[in-house]
Amino acid sequence: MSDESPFHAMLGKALVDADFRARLMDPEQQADALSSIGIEPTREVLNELNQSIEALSQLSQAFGDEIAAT
Amino acid sequence: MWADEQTSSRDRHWRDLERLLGELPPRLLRQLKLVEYDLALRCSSSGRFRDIFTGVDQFPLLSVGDWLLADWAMTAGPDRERAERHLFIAAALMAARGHTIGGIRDTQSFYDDGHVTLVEYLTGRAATELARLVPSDSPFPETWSRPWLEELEQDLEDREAVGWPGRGDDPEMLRHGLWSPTARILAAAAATLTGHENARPDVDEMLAGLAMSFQIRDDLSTLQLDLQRGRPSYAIAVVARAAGIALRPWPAPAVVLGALVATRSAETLVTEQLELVRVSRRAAERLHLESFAAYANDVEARVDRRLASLRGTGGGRRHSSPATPTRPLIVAAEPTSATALAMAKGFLLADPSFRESWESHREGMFGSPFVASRFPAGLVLEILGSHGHDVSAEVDEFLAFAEANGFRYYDHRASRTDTDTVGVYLRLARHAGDPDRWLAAAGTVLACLARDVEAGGSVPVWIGECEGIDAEPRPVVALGEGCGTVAAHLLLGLVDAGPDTYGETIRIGATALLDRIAGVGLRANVNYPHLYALGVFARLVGRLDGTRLGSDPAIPTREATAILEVALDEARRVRRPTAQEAALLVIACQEMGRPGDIDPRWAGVVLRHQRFDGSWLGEPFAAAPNRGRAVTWYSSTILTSALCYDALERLRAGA
Repeated sequence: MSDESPFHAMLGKALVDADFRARLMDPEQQADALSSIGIEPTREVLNELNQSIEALSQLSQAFGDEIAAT
Repeated sequence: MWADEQTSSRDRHWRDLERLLGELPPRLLRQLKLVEYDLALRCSSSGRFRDIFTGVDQFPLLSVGDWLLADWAMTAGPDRERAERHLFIAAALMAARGHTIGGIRDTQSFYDDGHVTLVEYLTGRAATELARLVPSDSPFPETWSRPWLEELEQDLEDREAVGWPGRGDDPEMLRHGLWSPTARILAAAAATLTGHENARPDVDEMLAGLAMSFQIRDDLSTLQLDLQRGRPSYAIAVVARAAGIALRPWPAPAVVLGALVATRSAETLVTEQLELVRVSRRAAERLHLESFAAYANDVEARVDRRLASLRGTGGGRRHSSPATPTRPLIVAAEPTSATALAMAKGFLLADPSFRESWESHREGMFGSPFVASRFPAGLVLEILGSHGHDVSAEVDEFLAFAEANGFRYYDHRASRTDTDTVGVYLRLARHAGDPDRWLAAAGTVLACLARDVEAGGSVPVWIGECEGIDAEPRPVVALGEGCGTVAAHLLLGLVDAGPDTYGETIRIGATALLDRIAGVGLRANVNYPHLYALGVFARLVGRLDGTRLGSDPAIPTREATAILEVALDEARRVRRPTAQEAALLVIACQEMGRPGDIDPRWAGVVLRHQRFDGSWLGEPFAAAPNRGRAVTWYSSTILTSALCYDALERLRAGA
């Protein structure tokens, strides 16, 4: 992709939005999930996405809420 | 072993620190108390102040002195105890100082430049503790001041880097641990006391590496928050560089978070963190600093596990210390303004009567024990309606009451019918369930008003006798006559209700008002804060522009606008606006069509003063009678909160 910003923004959304992430990780919903945020699910995009899926999965487990102060 | 020493040291010295801080005068103590809480939340696992910098998850700032004196074999006895105590207290004070300075610089924190006094105290007192350690002829003062000066210089460099193309993008510019200078100052003192000056360069490097390791962890932890706040950090610069993202203009947070995934920079950063701890541990071993070596060994195991977990390889280096870190690597953060807006909405919608905002009088006005005006609640409803909240039920109730009360300002028969009440009534009608029904109900009072406008040549504040609205024959002095803001309020309502239907009243009223503004500027306002009046006047000019009256050569729109432009330029120079003033400045800039003139610091002021229930403290808004013939400022938590909410919503919409 020439401009990676939309792709990065999509991964960033996936990192913080568990529902969107789940759709991206489901091969049957992947294309729809990309289309829903205005990214055309071309073969190139899907390949690039699938290269980042494992990293996304690992990092999402390290992303979470701070323990609240009461 | 190191952990036991750490706890034992804390137990020995904590009471002395408490005693010292307990002697602070009340205002300083009040500031310090919150710093204590914040520091505890930031630098301890328990959230208790006495646990700061304790345990394997914290940089051992308070232990630097004790550990070095022990590892450098200072003879046990009163001198060593004294030295340990001074170093411990100096470390705690410098930590509080560093945290406070960071808070002052963060425009979205709850700290402001009022905390400079506390920084001054903490700096002076820490220096005193250090000065008491060594003989006055020792070179130590010059030695320890060097890291301090480096820290100050670094800070200035960071600030400049934010504004300079190219520099803030360089990770190396941001590669320094927050606690490193303080740790090195403490080490310098310990080295002087034990004759280990020659070891200082190596010890400094060891401490700086360890501090940077914790900085990387903290940078990752606050990555999303820093991105939202536009706050550069080493971690952000590393991710941006790996992905080829420029940091100027500041990128969307999601783009950098996505780049973190795509470039696997989190792994890179945790690997660097691990390497820094490893190098520090080896240095400590080489320098025979057993406490540091043992501590770094446990930290290394911790980071190793984190890295393994990130790589999905499990395990990591086997070690006896507590295993899985409980804190997420990256902490999820809501944008401050989104949280503030949600809080404000929650507060404003909590009481649909907005009763606290009513101008309530218990001083015996009209000989009655209680008299109230609901007018301010109308302003609150107008703000909520303008931002898309369905307040139709509340508006219906407000309008029904205004109509039943004969459009009087106060809910007493001796109160006169009031233009401001009519104005807010008309402006609210469009948010009501059946706007036409309410506009029809105002027919009589609008006819009386048109009569008075035509007779007087301008919009009055108080409306004369009106058929169908009975009045109690009681002499009163009606304050506030001649207020241009009241006139503008009404004209805005008439434009809302029907610029053609009420064209003649609008023409006469607008001509008189704008002519007055062109002549005396914001002095045309009588009853309200000038900044509020500025926004209302600008809004009126904007609305008139959208009607056929906008091109009426008899209405001095251009002259009034020129005066308002100058007034806004002057208002923007205010040095320390309150929350309400900052909100009104934002609103005025927007109404004047000058959103580019909104100072980003104003949002910070508004955010900083929001309380945890979502409200802001009430600030003076209108002059009102009190105890007979005295006049004092009306203020309301709900109304000030609505104005602050309005400003934040406008900023969000304009972002």
